[in-house]
Amino acid sequence: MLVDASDDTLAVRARDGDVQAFEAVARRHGPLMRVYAARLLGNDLESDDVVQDAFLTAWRRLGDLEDPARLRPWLMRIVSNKSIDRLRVRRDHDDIDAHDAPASRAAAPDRVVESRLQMDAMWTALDKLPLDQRRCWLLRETGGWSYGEIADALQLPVSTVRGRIARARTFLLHEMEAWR
Amino acid sequence: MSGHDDAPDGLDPLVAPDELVDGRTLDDLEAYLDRGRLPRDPAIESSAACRLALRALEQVRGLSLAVLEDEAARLPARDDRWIAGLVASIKAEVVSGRDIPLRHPDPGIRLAVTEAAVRGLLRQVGDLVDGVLVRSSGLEGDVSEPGAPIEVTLRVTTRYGLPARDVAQALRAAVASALDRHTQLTVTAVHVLVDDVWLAERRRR
Amino acid sequence: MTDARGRGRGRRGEFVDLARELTEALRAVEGVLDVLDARPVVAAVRAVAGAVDGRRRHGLVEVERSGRVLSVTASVATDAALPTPETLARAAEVLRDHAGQASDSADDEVVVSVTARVVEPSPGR
Repeated sequence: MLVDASDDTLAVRARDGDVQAFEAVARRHGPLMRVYAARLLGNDLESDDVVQDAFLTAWRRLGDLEDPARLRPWLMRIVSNKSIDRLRVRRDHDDIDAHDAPASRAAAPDRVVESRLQMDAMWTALDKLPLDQRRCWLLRETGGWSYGEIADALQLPVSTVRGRIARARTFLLHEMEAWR
Repeated sequence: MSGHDDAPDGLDPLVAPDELVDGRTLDDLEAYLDRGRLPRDPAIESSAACRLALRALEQVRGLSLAVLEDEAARLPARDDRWIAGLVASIKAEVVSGRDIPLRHPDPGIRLAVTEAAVRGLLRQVGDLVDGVLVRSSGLEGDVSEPGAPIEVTLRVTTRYGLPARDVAQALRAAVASALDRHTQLTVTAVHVLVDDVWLAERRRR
Repeated sequence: MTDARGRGRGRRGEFVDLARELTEALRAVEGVLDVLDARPVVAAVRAVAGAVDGRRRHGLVEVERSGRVLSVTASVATDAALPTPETLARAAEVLRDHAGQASDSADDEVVVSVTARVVEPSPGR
Protein backbone atom coordinates (compact mmCIF):
# COMPACT_ATOMS: atom_id res chain seq x y z
CA MET A 1 0.00 0.00 0.00
CA LEU A 2 2.89 2.30 0.75
CA VAL A 3 4.22 1.81 -2.75
CA ASP A 4 1.04 3.43 -4.09
CA ALA A 5 1.08 6.34 -1.69
CA SER A 6 1.38 9.89 -3.03
CA ASP A 7 4.67 11.78 -2.80
CA ASP A 8 2.98 14.01 -0.25
CA THR A 9 2.12 11.11 2.06
CA LEU A 10 5.49 9.43 1.64
CA ALA A 11 7.33 12.67 2.39
CA VAL A 12 5.27 13.30 5.52
CA ARG A 13 5.77 9.75 6.75
CA ALA A 14 9.48 9.85 6.07
CA ARG A 15 9.71 13.14 7.92
CA ASP A 16 7.88 11.43 10.77
CA GLY A 17 10.70 8.85 10.85
CA ASP A 18 9.38 6.05 8.63
CA VAL A 19 12.39 4.47 6.94
CA GLN A 20 10.18 2.30 4.72
CA ALA A 21 8.43 5.37 3.34
CA PHE A 22 11.80 6.89 2.49
CA GLU A 23 12.85 3.69 0.81
CA ALA A 24 9.72 3.96 -1.34
CA VAL A 25 10.76 7.51 -2.21
CA ALA A 26 14.24 6.35 -3.19
CA ARG A 27 12.88 3.61 -5.43
CA ARG A 28 10.39 5.93 -7.04
CA HIS A 29 12.63 8.92 -7.77
CA GLY A 30 16.11 7.42 -7.72
CA PRO A 31 16.14 6.34 -11.37
CA LEU A 32 15.23 9.78 -12.73
CA MET A 33 17.76 11.43 -10.42
CA ARG A 34 20.43 9.05 -11.60
CA VAL A 35 19.75 9.66 -15.30
CA TYR A 36 19.65 13.42 -14.72
CA ALA A 37 22.90 13.43 -12.73
CA ALA A 38 24.58 11.31 -15.37
CA ARG A 39 23.59 13.81 -18.05
CA LEU A 40 24.88 16.72 -15.96
CA LEU A 41 28.15 15.02 -15.17
CA GLY A 42 28.70 13.45 -18.56
CA ASN A 43 29.06 9.87 -17.34
CA ASP A 44 27.28 7.13 -15.41
CA LEU A 45 30.03 6.26 -12.96
CA GLU A 46 29.74 9.18 -10.60
CA SER A 47 25.99 9.53 -10.78
CA ASP A 48 25.35 6.62 -8.39
CA ASP A 49 27.45 8.24 -5.67
CA VAL A 50 25.87 11.59 -6.26
CA VAL A 51 22.36 10.17 -5.98
CA GLN A 52 23.13 8.23 -2.80
CA ASP A 53 24.60 11.37 -1.28
CA ALA A 54 21.55 13.33 -2.37
CA PHE A 55 19.20 10.90 -0.62
CA LEU A 56 21.19 11.01 2.60
CA THR A 57 21.00 14.77 2.58
CA ALA A 58 17.30 14.63 1.74
CA TRP A 59 16.65 12.34 4.73
CA ARG A 60 18.40 14.74 7.06
CA ARG A 61 16.67 17.79 5.67
CA LEU A 62 13.11 16.50 5.31
CA GLY A 63 12.11 18.93 8.02
CA ASP A 64 12.97 21.76 5.60
CA LEU A 65 10.55 20.59 2.94
CA GLU A 66 7.74 23.09 3.26
CA ASP A 67 5.35 21.58 0.74
CA PRO A 68 5.60 17.77 0.86
CA ALA A 69 3.73 17.53 -2.44
CA ARG A 70 6.71 19.18 -4.14
CA LEU A 71 8.98 16.31 -3.12
CA ARG A 72 10.28 15.60 -6.61
CA PRO A 73 11.43 19.12 -7.57
CA TRP A 74 13.00 19.33 -4.12
CA LEU A 75 14.92 16.10 -4.68
CA MET A 76 15.97 17.26 -8.14
CA ARG A 77 17.37 20.44 -6.64
CA ILE A 78 19.38 18.47 -4.11
CA VAL A 79 20.82 16.17 -6.75
CA SER A 80 21.59 19.19 -8.95
CA ASN A 81 23.57 20.68 -6.07
CA LYS A 82 25.41 17.47 -5.39
CA SER A 83 26.30 17.17 -9.07
CA ILE A 84 27.62 20.72 -9.09
CA ASP A 85 29.68 19.93 -5.99
CA ARG A 86 31.14 16.95 -7.81
CA LEU A 87 32.00 19.18 -10.76
CA ARG A 88 33.84 21.55 -8.44
CA VAL A 89 35.99 18.71 -7.16
CA ARG A 90 36.66 17.72 -10.75
CA ARG A 91 37.57 21.25 -11.71
CA ASP A 92 40.28 21.23 -9.08
CA HIS A 93 41.91 18.27 -10.71
CA ASP A 94 41.43 18.45 -14.42
CA ASP A 95 39.31 19.65 -17.29
CA ILE A 96 35.74 19.73 -16.17
CA ASP A 97 34.40 18.32 -19.40
CA ALA A 98 37.01 15.69 -20.14
CA HIS A 99 34.62 12.98 -18.95
CA ASP A 100 31.81 13.32 -21.45
CA ALA A 101 31.06 9.77 -22.53
CA PRO A 102 28.33 9.10 -25.08
CA ALA A 103 25.22 8.10 -23.23
CA SER A 104 24.23 4.54 -23.92
CA ARG A 105 20.51 4.08 -24.04
CA ALA A 106 18.84 1.38 -21.98
CA ALA A 107 17.38 -1.46 -24.05
CA ALA A 108 14.36 -0.28 -25.97
CA PRO A 109 11.08 -2.15 -25.85
CA ASP A 110 10.23 -4.13 -28.95
CA ARG A 111 7.26 -2.12 -30.09
CA VAL A 112 8.30 0.93 -32.05
CA VAL A 113 5.92 3.82 -31.86
CA GLU A 114 5.95 7.39 -33.09
CA SER A 115 6.55 8.76 -29.62
CA ARG A 116 9.36 6.27 -29.08
CA LEU A 117 11.15 7.56 -32.17
CA GLN A 118 10.63 11.11 -30.99
CA MET A 119 12.10 10.26 -27.59
CA ASP A 120 15.10 8.62 -29.18
CA ALA A 121 15.61 11.66 -31.39
CA MET A 122 15.52 13.92 -28.32
CA TRP A 123 17.93 11.72 -26.42
CA THR A 124 20.35 11.78 -29.34
CA ALA A 125 19.98 15.52 -29.71
CA LEU A 126 20.74 16.08 -26.02
CA ASP A 127 23.68 13.77 -26.28
CA LYS A 128 25.07 15.69 -29.25
CA LEU A 129 25.12 18.91 -27.29
CA PRO A 130 28.51 19.91 -25.91
CA LEU A 131 28.47 19.06 -22.21
CA ASP A 132 28.73 22.63 -21.01
CA GLN A 133 25.65 23.61 -23.00
CA ARG A 134 23.74 20.49 -22.02
CA ARG A 135 24.48 21.10 -18.38
CA CYS A 136 23.18 24.66 -18.42
CA TRP A 137 20.14 23.60 -20.42
CA LEU A 138 19.21 20.77 -18.06
CA LEU A 139 19.75 22.81 -14.93
CA ARG A 140 17.35 25.38 -16.27
CA GLU A 141 14.76 23.27 -18.03
CA THR A 142 14.74 20.17 -15.84
CA GLY A 143 16.19 21.45 -12.59
CA GLY A 144 14.26 24.71 -12.72
CA TRP A 145 17.24 26.86 -11.81
CA SER A 146 17.35 30.54 -12.70
CA TYR A 147 20.10 32.02 -14.85
CA GLY A 148 21.56 33.66 -11.77
CA GLU A 149 21.60 30.44 -9.78
CA ILE A 150 23.30 28.54 -12.60
CA ALA A 151 25.87 31.31 -12.97
CA ASP A 152 26.63 31.24 -9.25
CA ALA A 153 26.88 27.48 -9.06
CA LEU A 154 29.12 27.09 -12.09
CA GLN A 155 31.06 30.25 -11.31
CA LEU A 156 30.36 31.80 -14.68
CA PRO A 157 29.08 35.20 -15.80
CA VAL A 158 25.32 35.23 -16.36
CA SER A 159 25.88 36.25 -19.98
CA THR A 160 27.87 33.07 -20.55
CA VAL A 161 25.06 30.99 -19.13
CA ARG A 162 22.53 32.79 -21.32
CA GLY A 163 24.71 32.21 -24.35
CA ARG A 164 25.06 28.49 -23.69
CA ILE A 165 21.36 28.01 -23.12
CA ALA A 166 20.52 30.00 -26.24
CA ARG A 167 22.86 27.85 -28.31
CA ALA A 168 21.48 24.65 -26.79
CA ARG A 169 17.94 25.79 -27.45
CA THR A 170 18.60 26.65 -31.06
CA PHE A 171 20.34 23.35 -31.64
CA LEU A 172 17.57 21.30 -30.04
CA LEU A 173 14.86 23.18 -31.92
CA HIS A 174 16.54 22.43 -35.20
CA GLU A 175 17.23 18.81 -34.33
CA MET A 176 13.62 18.27 -33.36
CA GLU A 177 12.17 20.19 -36.29
CA ALA A 178 11.02 17.00 -37.96
CA TRP A 179 8.69 16.31 -35.06
CA ARG A 180 6.77 19.55 -35.06
CA MET B 1 35.45 34.01 -19.21
CA SER B 2 35.64 30.47 -20.52
CA GLY B 3 36.88 29.84 -24.02
CA HIS B 4 33.93 27.57 -24.70
CA ASP B 5 31.69 30.40 -25.83
CA ASP B 6 33.89 31.31 -28.74
CA ALA B 7 34.63 27.78 -29.81
CA PRO B 8 32.73 26.53 -32.83
CA ASP B 9 29.78 24.41 -31.79
CA GLY B 10 29.31 22.55 -35.03
CA LEU B 11 25.88 24.18 -35.38
CA ASP B 12 24.23 25.38 -38.53
CA PRO B 13 26.21 28.56 -39.31
CA LEU B 14 23.10 30.18 -40.83
CA VAL B 15 21.34 30.26 -37.51
CA ALA B 16 22.33 32.92 -35.03
CA PRO B 17 21.52 32.18 -31.40
CA ASP B 18 19.48 35.35 -31.21
CA GLU B 19 17.41 34.70 -34.33
CA LEU B 20 14.28 36.82 -34.52
CA VAL B 21 10.79 35.52 -34.88
CA ASP B 22 8.53 38.33 -36.03
CA GLY B 23 10.72 40.80 -34.22
CA ARG B 24 11.10 38.78 -31.00
CA THR B 25 14.20 36.91 -29.94
CA LEU B 26 13.91 33.34 -28.74
CA ASP B 27 15.06 34.61 -25.34
CA ASP B 28 12.04 36.92 -25.25
CA LEU B 29 9.68 34.11 -26.21
CA GLU B 30 11.17 31.78 -23.65
CA ALA B 31 10.82 34.44 -20.95
CA TYR B 32 7.19 34.85 -22.04
CA LEU B 33 6.68 31.11 -21.62
CA ASP B 34 8.28 31.23 -18.16
CA ARG B 35 5.74 33.83 -17.12
CA GLY B 36 2.96 31.45 -18.11
CA ARG B 37 2.15 33.68 -21.08
CA LEU B 38 0.88 36.33 -18.69
CA PRO B 39 0.16 39.10 -18.99
CA ARG B 40 -1.09 38.21 -22.44
CA ASP B 41 0.99 39.83 -25.16
CA PRO B 42 -1.35 40.45 -28.14
CA ALA B 43 1.52 41.02 -30.55
CA ILE B 44 3.00 37.63 -29.79
CA GLU B 45 -0.31 35.80 -29.66
CA SER B 46 -1.46 37.19 -32.98
CA SER B 47 1.74 36.19 -34.74
CA ALA B 48 1.53 32.74 -36.25
CA ALA B 49 5.30 32.47 -36.38
CA CYS B 50 5.59 33.37 -32.71
CA ARG B 51 2.91 30.89 -31.72
CA LEU B 52 4.68 28.20 -33.68
CA ALA B 53 7.97 29.05 -32.04
CA LEU B 54 6.34 28.98 -28.59
CA ARG B 55 4.92 25.56 -29.33
CA ALA B 56 8.30 24.32 -30.49
CA LEU B 57 9.92 25.70 -27.34
CA GLU B 58 7.35 24.03 -25.12
CA GLN B 59 7.84 20.78 -26.89
CA VAL B 60 11.60 20.86 -26.62
CA ARG B 61 11.46 21.81 -22.96
CA GLY B 62 8.85 19.21 -22.13
CA LEU B 63 10.76 16.56 -24.03
CA SER B 64 13.93 17.29 -22.11
CA LEU B 65 12.30 16.07 -18.94
CA ALA B 66 10.21 13.41 -20.65
CA VAL B 67 13.23 11.80 -22.23
CA LEU B 68 14.99 11.55 -18.87
CA GLU B 69 11.88 10.04 -17.29
CA ASP B 70 11.59 7.64 -20.17
CA GLU B 71 15.17 6.52 -19.73
CA ALA B 72 14.69 6.24 -15.99
CA ALA B 73 11.67 4.01 -16.51
CA ARG B 74 13.72 1.74 -18.72
CA LEU B 75 16.48 1.22 -16.21
CA PRO B 76 16.49 -2.35 -15.02
CA ALA B 77 15.72 -2.82 -11.34
CA ARG B 78 19.23 -3.97 -10.61
CA ASP B 79 19.70 -1.60 -7.79
CA ASP B 80 18.61 -3.22 -4.61
CA ARG B 81 22.11 -3.11 -3.25
CA TRP B 82 22.35 0.66 -3.26
CA ILE B 83 18.94 0.88 -1.61
CA ALA B 84 20.01 -1.51 1.15
CA GLY B 85 23.11 0.56 1.83
CA LEU B 86 21.09 3.76 1.90
CA VAL B 87 18.48 2.28 4.23
CA ALA B 88 21.16 1.05 6.63
CA SER B 89 22.71 4.54 6.84
CA ILE B 90 19.35 6.11 7.38
CA LYS B 91 18.27 3.72 10.10
CA ALA B 92 21.30 4.79 12.09
CA GLU B 93 20.18 8.39 11.83
CA VAL B 94 16.55 8.19 12.89
CA VAL B 95 16.07 10.94 15.42
CA SER B 96 14.72 9.32 18.58
CA GLY B 97 12.87 12.22 20.08
CA ARG B 98 12.12 12.34 23.79
CA ASP B 99 12.63 9.36 26.07
CA ILE B 100 9.36 8.19 27.60
CA PRO B 101 10.27 6.60 30.93
CA LEU B 102 8.70 3.39 32.25
CA ARG B 103 8.35 2.74 35.96
CA HIS B 104 10.35 0.00 37.67
CA PRO B 105 10.52 -0.74 41.41
CA ASP B 106 14.31 -0.98 41.38
CA PRO B 107 15.88 2.51 41.37
CA GLY B 108 19.00 1.11 39.74
CA ILE B 109 16.98 0.16 36.67
CA ARG B 110 15.93 2.84 34.20
CA LEU B 111 13.62 1.90 31.39
CA ALA B 112 12.31 3.99 28.52
CA VAL B 113 10.63 3.92 25.14
CA THR B 114 11.54 6.63 22.66
CA GLU B 115 9.04 8.89 20.97
CA ALA B 116 10.31 7.57 17.64
CA ALA B 117 9.41 4.04 18.73
CA VAL B 118 5.91 5.18 19.66
CA ARG B 119 5.46 7.01 16.35
CA GLY B 120 6.51 3.88 14.49
CA LEU B 121 4.10 1.81 16.55
CA LEU B 122 1.21 4.18 15.88
CA ARG B 123 2.02 4.07 12.16
CA GLN B 124 1.77 0.30 12.21
CA VAL B 125 -1.48 0.02 14.17
CA GLY B 126 -3.03 2.83 12.17
CA ASP B 127 -2.11 1.22 8.86
CA LEU B 128 -3.81 -1.98 10.01
CA VAL B 129 -7.17 -0.24 10.04
CA ASP B 130 -8.78 -0.88 6.68
CA GLY B 131 -8.57 2.01 4.26
CA VAL B 132 -6.17 4.03 6.39
CA LEU B 133 -2.60 5.17 5.82
CA VAL B 134 -0.99 7.06 8.69
CA ARG B 135 0.89 10.22 7.77
CA SER B 136 2.21 11.37 11.10
CA SER B 137 1.61 11.29 14.83
CA GLY B 138 2.50 13.41 17.80
CA LEU B 139 2.41 13.31 21.58
CA GLU B 140 1.66 16.50 23.42
CA GLY B 141 2.37 16.91 27.09
CA ASP B 142 5.19 16.14 29.46
CA VAL B 143 5.96 12.54 28.60
CA SER B 144 8.69 12.34 31.23
CA GLU B 145 6.35 13.06 34.12
CA PRO B 146 4.42 10.00 35.32
CA GLY B 147 0.68 10.60 35.19
CA ALA B 148 0.92 13.81 33.18
CA PRO B 149 -1.99 14.13 30.73
CA ILE B 150 -0.92 13.30 27.20
CA GLU B 151 -2.87 14.10 24.04
CA VAL B 152 -2.19 12.11 20.92
CA THR B 153 -2.76 13.46 17.43
CA LEU B 154 -2.86 11.10 14.49
CA ARG B 155 -2.91 12.47 10.95
CA VAL B 156 -4.07 10.05 8.28
CA THR B 157 -5.15 9.70 4.70
CA THR B 158 -8.14 7.45 4.06
CA ARG B 159 -9.96 5.76 1.22
CA TYR B 160 -12.81 7.85 -0.07
CA GLY B 161 -16.22 6.61 0.94
CA LEU B 162 -15.35 5.22 4.34
CA PRO B 163 -17.58 6.52 7.12
CA ALA B 164 -15.34 9.04 8.88
CA ARG B 165 -16.73 8.44 12.33
CA ASP B 166 -16.19 4.68 12.21
CA VAL B 167 -12.66 5.15 10.96
CA ALA B 168 -11.85 7.65 13.69
CA GLN B 169 -13.31 5.36 16.31
CA ALA B 170 -11.35 2.35 15.08
CA LEU B 171 -8.16 4.40 15.08
CA ARG B 172 -8.75 5.79 18.54
CA ALA B 173 -9.27 2.30 19.89
CA ALA B 174 -6.17 0.97 18.14
CA VAL B 175 -4.02 3.85 19.37
CA ALA B 176 -5.28 3.64 22.94
CA SER B 177 -4.68 -0.10 23.03
CA ALA B 178 -1.16 0.16 21.62
CA LEU B 179 -0.15 2.92 24.03
CA ASP B 180 -1.63 1.05 26.95
CA ARG B 181 0.39 -2.03 26.08
CA HIS B 182 3.71 -0.39 25.34
CA THR B 183 3.82 2.72 27.50
CA GLN B 184 2.53 3.88 30.85
CA LEU B 185 1.27 7.19 29.54
CA THR B 186 -1.97 8.71 30.74
CA VAL B 187 -3.67 9.39 27.43
CA THR B 188 -6.44 11.92 27.86
CA ALA B 189 -7.37 12.37 24.21
CA VAL B 190 -6.71 10.88 20.80
CA HIS B 191 -7.33 13.32 17.96
CA VAL B 192 -7.70 11.84 14.51
CA LEU B 193 -7.25 14.22 11.60
CA VAL B 194 -7.93 13.14 8.04
CA ASP B 195 -5.55 15.18 5.90
CA ASP B 196 -6.41 13.63 2.60
CA VAL B 197 -8.45 10.97 0.86
CA TRP B 198 -7.72 8.69 -2.03
CA LEU B 199 -10.01 7.18 -4.61
CA ALA B 200 -9.87 3.42 -4.77
CA GLU B 201 -9.23 3.28 -8.53
CA ARG B 202 -6.49 5.92 -8.51
CA ARG B 203 -3.00 4.49 -8.38
CA ARG B 204 -1.42 7.04 -6.09
CA ARG B 205 -2.61 7.64 -2.55
CA MET C 1 47.64 4.15 34.95
CA THR C 2 44.58 6.28 34.36
CA ASP C 3 43.26 8.06 31.29
CA ALA C 4 42.29 11.72 31.12
CA ARG C 5 38.97 11.06 32.82
CA GLY C 6 40.49 9.26 35.75
CA ARG C 7 39.22 5.86 34.68
CA GLY C 8 41.44 2.87 35.01
CA ARG C 9 42.97 2.32 31.63
CA GLY C 10 43.84 -1.23 32.28
CA ARG C 11 40.23 -1.90 33.07
CA ARG C 12 39.06 -1.14 29.56
CA GLY C 13 40.14 -4.56 28.43
CA GLU C 14 37.68 -6.23 30.80
CA PHE C 15 34.70 -4.45 29.27
CA VAL C 16 35.29 -5.74 25.78
CA ASP C 17 34.32 -9.25 26.73
CA LEU C 18 31.62 -8.17 29.15
CA ALA C 19 29.97 -5.90 26.63
CA ARG C 20 29.96 -8.67 24.09
CA GLU C 21 28.53 -11.17 26.55
CA LEU C 22 25.85 -8.74 27.65
CA THR C 23 24.91 -8.12 24.03
CA GLU C 24 24.48 -11.86 23.47
CA ALA C 25 22.52 -12.29 26.69
CA LEU C 26 20.26 -9.45 25.69
CA ARG C 27 19.50 -10.98 22.31
CA ALA C 28 18.16 -14.08 24.06
CA VAL C 29 15.60 -12.19 26.14
CA GLU C 30 12.01 -12.89 25.14
CA GLY C 31 10.53 -9.89 23.36
CA VAL C 32 13.88 -8.42 22.32
CA LEU C 33 13.98 -8.49 18.52
CA ASP C 34 17.30 -6.77 18.05
CA VAL C 35 20.08 -5.07 19.98
CA LEU C 36 20.95 -1.63 18.64
CA ASP C 37 23.94 0.59 19.21
CA ALA C 38 23.55 2.00 22.69
CA ARG C 39 24.75 5.43 21.72
CA PRO C 40 23.50 6.30 18.27
CA VAL C 41 25.26 9.39 17.03
CA VAL C 42 22.87 11.86 15.54
CA ALA C 43 24.15 12.92 12.16
CA ALA C 44 23.97 16.59 12.93
CA VAL C 45 26.08 16.22 16.03
CA ARG C 46 28.60 14.19 14.12
CA ALA C 47 28.80 16.78 11.41
CA VAL C 48 29.28 19.61 13.86
CA ALA C 49 31.68 17.85 16.19
CA GLY C 50 33.71 16.29 13.41
CA ALA C 51 35.72 14.16 15.78
CA VAL C 52 34.87 10.58 16.62
CA ASP C 53 34.28 9.75 20.27
CA GLY C 54 37.50 8.37 21.72
CA ARG C 55 35.69 5.54 23.47
CA ARG C 56 35.70 2.49 21.32
CA ARG C 57 32.59 0.44 20.79
CA HIS C 58 32.92 -3.10 22.12
CA GLY C 59 29.74 -4.91 21.41
CA LEU C 60 26.54 -2.89 21.21
CA VAL C 61 25.87 -2.68 24.93
CA GLU C 62 27.71 0.16 26.59
CA VAL C 63 29.57 -0.58 29.81
CA GLU C 64 31.26 2.13 31.84
CA ARG C 65 32.73 2.33 35.27
CA SER C 66 32.81 5.47 37.32
CA GLY C 67 34.21 4.83 40.76
CA ARG C 68 32.14 2.04 42.28
CA VAL C 69 29.26 2.34 39.89
CA LEU C 70 29.15 0.08 36.90
CA SER C 71 26.67 1.43 34.41
CA VAL C 72 25.22 -0.63 31.62
CA THR C 73 23.31 1.03 28.79
CA ALA C 74 21.44 -0.77 26.05
CA SER C 75 19.12 0.08 23.18
CA VAL C 76 16.82 -2.52 21.76
CA ALA C 77 14.03 -3.20 19.33
CA THR C 78 11.08 -4.88 21.06
CA ASP C 79 8.35 -7.15 19.78
CA ALA C 80 5.00 -5.39 19.40
CA ALA C 81 3.20 -8.60 20.40
CA LEU C 82 4.47 -8.42 23.98
CA PRO C 83 4.13 -5.47 26.39
CA THR C 84 7.29 -3.43 26.09
CA PRO C 85 7.53 -2.47 29.80
CA GLU C 86 7.70 -6.16 30.69
CA THR C 87 10.19 -6.96 27.95
CA LEU C 88 12.46 -4.13 29.04
CA ALA C 89 12.18 -5.15 32.70
CA ARG C 90 13.25 -8.67 31.78
CA ALA C 91 16.10 -7.32 29.71
CA ALA C 92 17.29 -5.01 32.49
CA GLU C 93 17.24 -7.79 35.06
CA VAL C 94 19.26 -10.07 32.80
CA LEU C 95 21.83 -7.33 32.25
CA ARG C 96 22.01 -6.47 35.94
CA ASP C 97 22.45 -10.07 37.03
CA HIS C 98 25.06 -10.80 34.38
CA ALA C 99 27.03 -7.62 34.98
CA GLY C 100 26.83 -8.13 38.72
CA GLN C 101 28.38 -11.59 38.42
CA ALA C 102 31.14 -10.34 36.18
CA SER C 103 32.03 -7.42 38.41
CA ASP C 104 35.23 -7.97 40.37
CA SER C 105 34.01 -6.20 43.48
CA ALA C 106 31.05 -7.09 45.67
CA ASP C 107 30.71 -3.39 46.55
CA ASP C 108 30.01 -2.43 42.98
CA GLU C 109 26.64 -0.96 42.31
CA VAL C 110 25.20 -1.85 38.94
CA VAL C 111 22.94 0.66 37.22
CA VAL C 112 21.14 -0.50 34.12
CA SER C 113 19.42 1.61 31.51
CA VAL C 114 17.47 -0.02 28.68
CA THR C 115 15.65 1.93 25.98
CA ALA C 116 13.36 0.62 23.28
CA ARG C 117 14.08 2.66 20.17
CA VAL C 118 11.91 0.55 17.92
CA VAL C 119 8.71 -1.41 18.56
CA GLU C 120 7.63 -3.59 15.69
CA PRO C 121 6.01 -6.92 14.86
CA SER C 122 8.50 -9.75 14.78
CA PRO C 123 9.34 -10.83 11.23
CA GLY C 124 7.24 -13.71 10.06
CA ARG C 125 4.01 -12.41 11.52
